[in-house]
Amino acid sequence: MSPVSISTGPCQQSTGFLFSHECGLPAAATCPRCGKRVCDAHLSALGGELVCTSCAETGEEEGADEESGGDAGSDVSEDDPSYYYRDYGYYGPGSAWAKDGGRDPNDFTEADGESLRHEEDASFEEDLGGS
Amino acid sequence: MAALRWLVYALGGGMGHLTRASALARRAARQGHAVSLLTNSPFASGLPLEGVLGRGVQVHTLDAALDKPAVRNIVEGWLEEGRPDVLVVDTFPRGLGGELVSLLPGLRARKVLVHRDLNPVYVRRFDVARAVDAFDLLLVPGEDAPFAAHPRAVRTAPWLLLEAGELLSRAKARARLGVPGDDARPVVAVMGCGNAAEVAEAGDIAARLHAALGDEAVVRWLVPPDAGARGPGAEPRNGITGGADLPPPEGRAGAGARTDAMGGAGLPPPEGHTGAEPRNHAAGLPPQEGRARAGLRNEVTGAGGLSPPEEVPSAGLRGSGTGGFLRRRERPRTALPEALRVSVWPALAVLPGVDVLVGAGGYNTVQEARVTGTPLVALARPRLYDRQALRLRPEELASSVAELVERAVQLARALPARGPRPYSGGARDAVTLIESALLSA
Repeated sequence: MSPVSISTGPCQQSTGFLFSHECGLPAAATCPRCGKRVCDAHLSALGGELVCTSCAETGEEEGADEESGGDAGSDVSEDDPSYYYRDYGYYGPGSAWAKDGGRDPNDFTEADGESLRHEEDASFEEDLGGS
Repeated sequence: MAALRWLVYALGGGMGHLTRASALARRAARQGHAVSLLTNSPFASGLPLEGVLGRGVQVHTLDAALDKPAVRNIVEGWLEEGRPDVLVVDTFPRGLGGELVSLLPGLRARKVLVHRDLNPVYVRRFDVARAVDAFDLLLVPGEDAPFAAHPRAVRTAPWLLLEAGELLSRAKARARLGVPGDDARPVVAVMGCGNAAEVAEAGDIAARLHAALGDEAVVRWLVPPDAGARGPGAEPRNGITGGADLPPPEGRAGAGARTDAMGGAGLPPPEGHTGAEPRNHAAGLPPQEGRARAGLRNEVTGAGGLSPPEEVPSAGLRGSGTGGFLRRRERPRTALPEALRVSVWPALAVLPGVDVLVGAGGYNTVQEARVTGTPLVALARPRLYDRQALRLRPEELASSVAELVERAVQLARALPARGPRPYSGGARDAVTLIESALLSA
């Protein structure tokens, strides 16, 4: 596995279940493909190197396309939604979760938890007895 | 200066907004202004507002359960019909439901914001800075606030409902709390306010303190009038409404029973008031088609007065000392808080008779304790906008009910000297500042 350079500053990986935002956790490395600062949670293994989860996902999709040559070689039944939508579901054929050693780029992170906590803001100006 | 029409917007839960706004309204009325105060406090209907606020303050009480559209309609009508010279808004520059954002630009009146601490998430996400700019004057009443450095912001001392001379003497305050004249024990008072659950929890805390201190101190549970056994609108627990047959702590006949004189805390009536005028429920806002007015109740129309509290004979005790030890053991545990309950408002009036105050970190409780030099230990209750933990000093803040009880017991046993009493006239100064702003308009 190729070494990655140590990086300082906040992680620049976009995350968020409802609202996209930068992760912001302390970065542990710089992605050798795109140069983005990323934290441990957003590092993923791809072909022997550690890259950011975005590059890992892109690389896996490219690899899958090369292997399958499109949908022609797929062994997925037409009854399976992922026959038509390759990324259907977190655990479909296109999911990094299904690959050995990979991290699910769609998995929840602490940053997601923080974004959900902000959902309490919905009480502002709605809960008229909450002051 | 000439009498002007003031509208005071005091929407918000609990009693804090109403009490702080009442402090201002009361003094404005004493200066001859006609004041209309809008509240949705669930405690408001039980308070002797007419007596404390006096002549010239009209209180409009909204049902606390109204939804946003209904509140907006009522506020819009209140502003239209009030034709104010000045609108004073407590805490929420956008309005409690955001309704003022669209209503203020069309209002031809000077606009004053009572500016206090606000949750920074709310400030950021609702662009409160822009809303603040709609006001001609920001009054910062004794605490820091996010826009306290605004060019139109002016700091004042904390606002208190009563003037220093209106507080009861120590002897009268203890009598009002049901402590016999020959009883020299310290008084520990647990303030019940906030919401129904917190009023009830204050009763449970009082019961724990009573059990822990026994004969060492008199414990009282201070409850707003008509708050019921568990808070506003709540049914008494287990059908218990009095608890007057509960025996006092051992060896202290007459010291542990309920005092339930409703009404004010023994304040002198406002100037010029005879105390004889009934509430005028007929002078509400005129009906207007299409507006949701069903939740608006007109409590007072310029003729308020404080009816003297019921006589509290040597302590205002009822049925005390009738039970022995065995009987007390057989009684349900839940009877105890009721026996400690004292219905009083404003509680500030009796603080000279309180040696340890136990409560929460709301604006009024904290400021009232400090200006009367009353040792305070308090919980920081969670609130949507107010950050009570920031208000409380480390020596005042308890992190749990267990710690609260433990520290209150320690304070009662140590009997620390009362602190200095830097009684402030912040509300009086605020009226002067607003009048100055009107003159310069």
